[in-house]
Amino acid sequence: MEGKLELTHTDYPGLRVIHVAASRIDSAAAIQFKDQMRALTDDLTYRAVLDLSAVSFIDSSGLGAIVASLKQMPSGIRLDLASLQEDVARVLRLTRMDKVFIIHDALDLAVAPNGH
Amino acid sequence: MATRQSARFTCEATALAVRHTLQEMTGRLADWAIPSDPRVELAVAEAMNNIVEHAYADNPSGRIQLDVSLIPQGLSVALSDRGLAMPDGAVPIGEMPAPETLPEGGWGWSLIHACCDGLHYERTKGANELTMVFQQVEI
Repeated sequence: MEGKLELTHTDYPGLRVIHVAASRIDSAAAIQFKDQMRALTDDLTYRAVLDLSAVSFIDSSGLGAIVASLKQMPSGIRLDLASLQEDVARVLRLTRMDKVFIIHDALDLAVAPNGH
Repeated sequence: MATRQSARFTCEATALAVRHTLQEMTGRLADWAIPSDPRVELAVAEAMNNIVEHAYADNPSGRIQLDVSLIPQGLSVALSDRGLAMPDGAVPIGEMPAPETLPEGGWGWSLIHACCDGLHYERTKGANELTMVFQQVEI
């Protein structure tokens, strides 16, 4: 289907990295994003990191879908963000939602034990 | 050349059509060889999403017209639709929702205000006309 968004994942000990295989998380992708995130995090017992390295554009619907994904995480389980492109980072800064997430500059840092 | 550069796009009031139109618009701006300004796509996306979600809330067959033109001050983007008028007849001021409430939306107008340098709204003859101006686009 046109406008399809795909999430893939890589599991590490104590960590699931979720890769967004699409260049946009926009209004046309928001519902698919949220649904796929739910399927990938539903029964997670450890931290997840969302790898946004392929994403060059998000709008407020896309940001809302990322926040919804955070809120639907199992209780006590973190969702971090990693590898934001500049235009995506700007939307998080402008909306001050960069305060809500732990944001890793690069994926290898996120994958490090404890994610620090 | 005295010809001023401008382009018109029309778009159905669906999220996917908005995405395609934004990509066409950014492609055209790139063709014009003006410095890329990421604020433009974000502001226009938010404004078009508002039209789809609010002005044409009950009418996905509505049409949106997008006019992009280079003006002496920079870039002008005008959106026109025949959907519901803006409540209060004016653009909302837009206030960023508090991050700690984990909002899932409500940033649209604030982002538009933050991204463009001029904003004008008019309701005329059953149409909404929203014009955004972006400065610092060097020709």
